[in-house]
Amino acid sequence: MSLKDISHPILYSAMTTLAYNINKKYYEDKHYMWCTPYFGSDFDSPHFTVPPSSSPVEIYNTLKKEVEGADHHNTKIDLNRRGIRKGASIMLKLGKITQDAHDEIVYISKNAKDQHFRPLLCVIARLEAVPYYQKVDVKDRANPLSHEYILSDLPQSAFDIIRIG
Amino acid sequence: MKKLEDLVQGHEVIDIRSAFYYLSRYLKQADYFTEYEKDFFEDDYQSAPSDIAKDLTFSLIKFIEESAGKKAEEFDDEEYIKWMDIINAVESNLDPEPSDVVKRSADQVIDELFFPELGKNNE
Repeated sequence: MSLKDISHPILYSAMTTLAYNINKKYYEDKHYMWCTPYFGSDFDSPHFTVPPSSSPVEIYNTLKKEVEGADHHNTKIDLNRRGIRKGASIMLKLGKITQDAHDEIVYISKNAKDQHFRPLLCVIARLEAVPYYQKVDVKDRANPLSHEYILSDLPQSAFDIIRIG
Repeated sequence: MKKLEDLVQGHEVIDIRSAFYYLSRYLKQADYFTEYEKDFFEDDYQSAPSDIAKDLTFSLIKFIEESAGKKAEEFDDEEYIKWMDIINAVESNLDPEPSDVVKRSADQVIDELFFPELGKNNE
């Protein structure tokens, strides 16, 4: 279902502090984020159509646990490091950053400490997000009821940052 | 014995990086594909993977699942972590050593990383 067709007024997303900083410094303070109208509470509800691993509060808590050292494997943080590098390679290919900026981002992604992945919770008004939602055509198998949305180049003025716990 | 890094030889770094990223997604979300009908290649228009990256991703998935003798959705936590560590070891070594200028600049950025204030308008 398209972002403009759902009735939920608010979207939520979890982001790392490092990703936020990189977006601000290298990508003109424009943010790429996955968001959902479900903060994350009742996974058994038939109305909840995103998997638990996509729930903003689950992602937030997983990152928080890894940052605090409670989880020795840090797979979520490692995934984020990889995601930042992938993002940099895309931006370089699009001509939005220079080779040097790309190389800096790659270096930063490898050398930033775990504490730099401290999670942020972003709250976005759905109507402000609509212009920044442009989904790639997916195969027919994708769940038409899925309520996960990808926002590209969202300005920081379009969302609030909150902390929980 | 063939290794994961052998499969990516000869490909451009952007496609390799992309493939490892979507491979990681696949392994992470393997439990949910049937239930939630997710497309692990789903992304925004700027980030959409190339056909080469997609084919490479499928090759990597095939290699991992054949090596493990099972589908990713059957992996226990230990197997999942083991493969994520292997992916990490290969993917994080794709880049040439950065110049001293790049390193100094990047180290400064790391030193200046900040936790944003709550609310909006963090100028």
